[in-house]
Amino acid sequence: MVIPAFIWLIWLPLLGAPLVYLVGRLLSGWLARWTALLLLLAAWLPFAATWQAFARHETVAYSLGQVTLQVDGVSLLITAVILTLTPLIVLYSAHTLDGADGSEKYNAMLLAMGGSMIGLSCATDLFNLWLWFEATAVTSYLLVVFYHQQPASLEAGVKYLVQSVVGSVLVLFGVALVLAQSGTLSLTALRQQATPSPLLLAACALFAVGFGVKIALVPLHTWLPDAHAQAPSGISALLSGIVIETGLVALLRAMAALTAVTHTWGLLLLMLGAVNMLVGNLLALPQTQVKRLLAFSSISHIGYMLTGLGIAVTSGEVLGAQGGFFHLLTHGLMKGLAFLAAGALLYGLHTAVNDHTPLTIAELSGSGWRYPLVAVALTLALLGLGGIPPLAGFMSKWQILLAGMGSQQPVLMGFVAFAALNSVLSLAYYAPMVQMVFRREMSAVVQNGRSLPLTMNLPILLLALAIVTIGLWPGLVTRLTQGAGTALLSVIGNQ
Amino acid sequence: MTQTTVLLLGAVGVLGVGLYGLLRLRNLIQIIVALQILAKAAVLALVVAGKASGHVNLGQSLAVTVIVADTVIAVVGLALAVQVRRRLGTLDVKALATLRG
Amino acid sequence: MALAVGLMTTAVFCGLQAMRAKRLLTAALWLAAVSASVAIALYQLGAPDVAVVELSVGAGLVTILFVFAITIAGDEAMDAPPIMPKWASWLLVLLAVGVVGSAIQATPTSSAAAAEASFTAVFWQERGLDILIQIGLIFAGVLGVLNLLTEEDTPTPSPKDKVP
Repeated sequence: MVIPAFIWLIWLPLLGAPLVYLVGRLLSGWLARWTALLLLLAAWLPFAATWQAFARHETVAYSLGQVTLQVDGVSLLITAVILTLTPLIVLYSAHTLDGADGSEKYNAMLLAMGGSMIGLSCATDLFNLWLWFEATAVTSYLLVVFYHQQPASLEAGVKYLVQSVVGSVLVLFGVALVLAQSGTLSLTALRQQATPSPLLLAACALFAVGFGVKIALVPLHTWLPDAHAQAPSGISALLSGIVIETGLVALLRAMAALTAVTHTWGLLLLMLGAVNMLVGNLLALPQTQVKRLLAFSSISHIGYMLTGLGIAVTSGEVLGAQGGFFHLLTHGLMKGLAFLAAGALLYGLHTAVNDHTPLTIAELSGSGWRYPLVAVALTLALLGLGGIPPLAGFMSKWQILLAGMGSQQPVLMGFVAFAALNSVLSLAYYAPMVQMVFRREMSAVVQNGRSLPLTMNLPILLLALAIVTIGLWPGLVTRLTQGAGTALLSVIGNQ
Repeated sequence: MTQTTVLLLGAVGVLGVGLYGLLRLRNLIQIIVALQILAKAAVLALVVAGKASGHVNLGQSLAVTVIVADTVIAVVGLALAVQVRRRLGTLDVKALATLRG
Repeated sequence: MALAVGLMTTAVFCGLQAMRAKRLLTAALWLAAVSASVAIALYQLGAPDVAVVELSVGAGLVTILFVFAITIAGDEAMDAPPIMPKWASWLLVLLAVGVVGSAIQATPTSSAAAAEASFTAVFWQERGLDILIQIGLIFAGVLGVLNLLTEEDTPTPSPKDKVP
């Protein structure tokens, strides 16, 4: 049997993880880091091959026993974001981890987490989907509590572990109910034979709550600000930029297979999205710590994605799904950049002078004159998140807005109008931060700040360039987002 | 009521017990006991589901995988609890409620 | 049938005891009892393979792990009042159990209990991919524990008092 190239997208990081750990353990942490970086960059080769096969409309699938992994537009999009962010984060963390115990564990787990998320995006079997989901969670525990000497990160770790285990058990219970009712776990088979029944309805509810914990659907969001603010900055970037989004993909896959059971789940997505946007924004407003504010804003950005996807599910409008997935991509890059830039400032102003307290917004005062590159990048990321044209974030929000308006349905138009209002509201906390960065007078910590290493500046520069480029030429990623949008609509059968 | 229905209802009951514990408990290790109880409910439900749909061996395979996964989680959770105890001197989760907002 | 009802009642009762226990060791032992009754129920259902695993891993290994952890961390009695009032907890739990439970009025019984591959074949061949992921999971767990339990020579000073 011929092994298709895409399987290396999963195996390369997953098999690479123990290799990186062993290299770091036996030789040096430095070598382990470069091995990890090299493996991640090498994964672009199978990606290119998969992309070409996909463009030729071949079925890109691999079966082992009864379980099949298959690539579709959504998997390609998720994989692209993972393969962009993860190598940058390996590079970014290099300096902060130097001398720290366990840098090889950190890099190994980064690889393993990337591999399990790519696997998740290709799963076509309900239980297999759950197992990849669980693997992503277990690999991320180590990364969240990496600074296990600090009580704050232990606390974040405990909350994260308990809530995500509860979520995953509920999902598993849902899987059991589906199996009891229909006797199959294959998502394709389920799509064809699922009929409304109380058991399947209960399963849908369990999926919504279980995956909802992972994607921080309000009111299941309480763990997110702690975990995302306390984790090492590179990990915060990954958690906010892609991990919660893969939870969203898992929810979509599970619910899409049961579309016949609940015709109203599109409306449910829209309502959850609206609540998430509003609550995320309101909670972010009074925040004084930089990373915590960014973490809360992730809750509201999940809301925008849900709005786009909800429009697609209710009206069959491909533009909505495309916009939702486009926002997933741009949010990944922008929030990743915002966390990296904030983390760089945290490092230069606090960690490098052996201060482990969180960075507050007031302390950013005047940092723009001391760290021009980082400050400009942070500004681009924040304004992009706030939806200022012509940055990437505006483009994706605009597409969602157009999809809602184009549907000509008053309900959908109401939801996108609400999203637009929320986007304006979010500027109320992004703008003051930007203003603070470029204030004339430098705060005391900024004056004592240390300079930043190249390994931190380079990833920040690259991500900032990417955001500007996508903002100016959104057409560059259209094929990616369109593929994902079409993939979603084809599985929910266009109603 | 058939045997499978009784067992599935029992699994829901066990799930409820675990959730009740999570809402009430303050000791971190006892919270991990509650998580284990939740996992037992899921294992039972999977096998019963397999039996009910005529795929008992499929249900068994999935359940074994779940048992392994949940043991891994129990180990990580207990290591976390030991570390919390070492750093904070207590297992009370209320001592962990410093992050707010 | 009667046996199933009895076993499920036992499991729920033991679970409640584990949740109400004042000492951690007692709670761990009640957990083992839940595990044992689930294992017997599985055996009785005609799933002997998973019953054995549940009994040895769920009731055996996990209990040993708990005892280990309790020995290291100390078995402190916790008399402090719980976070959530009793009536509110019961209300939430009964709501959740009611929603899911009411959906299970009757599970469909398949007539086609016929040709299914043996447990070994299903586990090792049909679900081979799951096993590979499991190995990854175990690796991640081991690294996680190693990371958590490594003592650094110079622990960083506790920033606890500075966290707002």
